[in-house]
Amino acid sequence: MGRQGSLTLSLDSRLPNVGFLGAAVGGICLLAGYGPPQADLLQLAVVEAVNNAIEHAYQGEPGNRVEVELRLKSGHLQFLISDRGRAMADPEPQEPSFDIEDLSSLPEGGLGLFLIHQIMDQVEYTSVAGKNTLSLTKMLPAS
Amino acid sequence: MQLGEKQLGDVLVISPREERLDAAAAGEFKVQMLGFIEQGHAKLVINLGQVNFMDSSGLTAIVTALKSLGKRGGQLAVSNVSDSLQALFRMTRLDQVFKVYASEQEACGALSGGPEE
Repeated sequence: MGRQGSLTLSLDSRLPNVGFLGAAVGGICLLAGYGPPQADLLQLAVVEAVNNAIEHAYQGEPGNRVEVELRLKSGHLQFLISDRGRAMADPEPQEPSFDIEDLSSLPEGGLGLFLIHQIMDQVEYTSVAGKNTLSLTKMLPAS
Repeated sequence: MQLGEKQLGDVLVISPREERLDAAAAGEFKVQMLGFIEQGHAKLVINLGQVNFMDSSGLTAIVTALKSLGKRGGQLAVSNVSDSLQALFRMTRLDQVFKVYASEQEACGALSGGPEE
C-alpha cells in the first residue's frame, strides 16, 4: 500500500454493522504497516468512536449515517468519525477510577473515550453546523 | 450469542463461539452470563480462545458478571486471552482485578476445590 491515500466508509447506525467496519479498518491498518497487536488496537479505537456515535449521538436509533474517513498521509494515519446526532457534552476522557479490592466500584461503562485516548497519538473533537467529528491520529510505524 | 458450556468438577467453563465480543453481542452475552449465575453456578471460567476482538462493551459485560458473582461469594476467571485482549485489560487496569490464566485447565485448577471468596 502506498503511503498516501484516503477512503470513506459509511454505515447505518446499527451496532451489528460496526463489526464489518472494524474488520475493514483492521485490515487497512495491517496494510499501512502496523503489526497485528497495534492494528487490533487501532480497530478498537475506531470501533469505540463509532459505537459512541450510534449509542450516544443517535441514542441507538437506526436509520442515521456514521461516516469514517481514513487518510493515510506521510507519517501518519488519521480517522475522521462523523455523525449528525447529539454533540458530545464532555469530550474529555475520564480515567476509570475504582478500587481493585472493591468489586462494587468497578466500571460497567464509560470506558470508550478513555481507551481512544490511550491508543491514539492525537484526538480532537469538533461540532460544527450540526456535524460532530472525532479526529483520531496515529503515527505510522517506522518502515 | 453462541456459547460453549462445559462443567469440569465444580467449575462451569463458558466459551463464546464468536470472533467478536463487541457492543452488538455484549448485551446478550451479559444476560446469558447472569443467567448462569442465577442458576447457582458459583465458579465460572470464561475461555476467550475464539474471541479475537473485544471492545469496552464486551469487557464491561464480563465486569458485570464478576460483580454479580462477587456479591454471591463466587469466583470468575478468564483464560486463553490474546495479546490484544490482554492490552485491553491492561489499559483499563482491569488486569489487576481479573484472574487471567493461559489455559482453561489452569484456570479450572485454580478455582476448583478452592474456597469461595
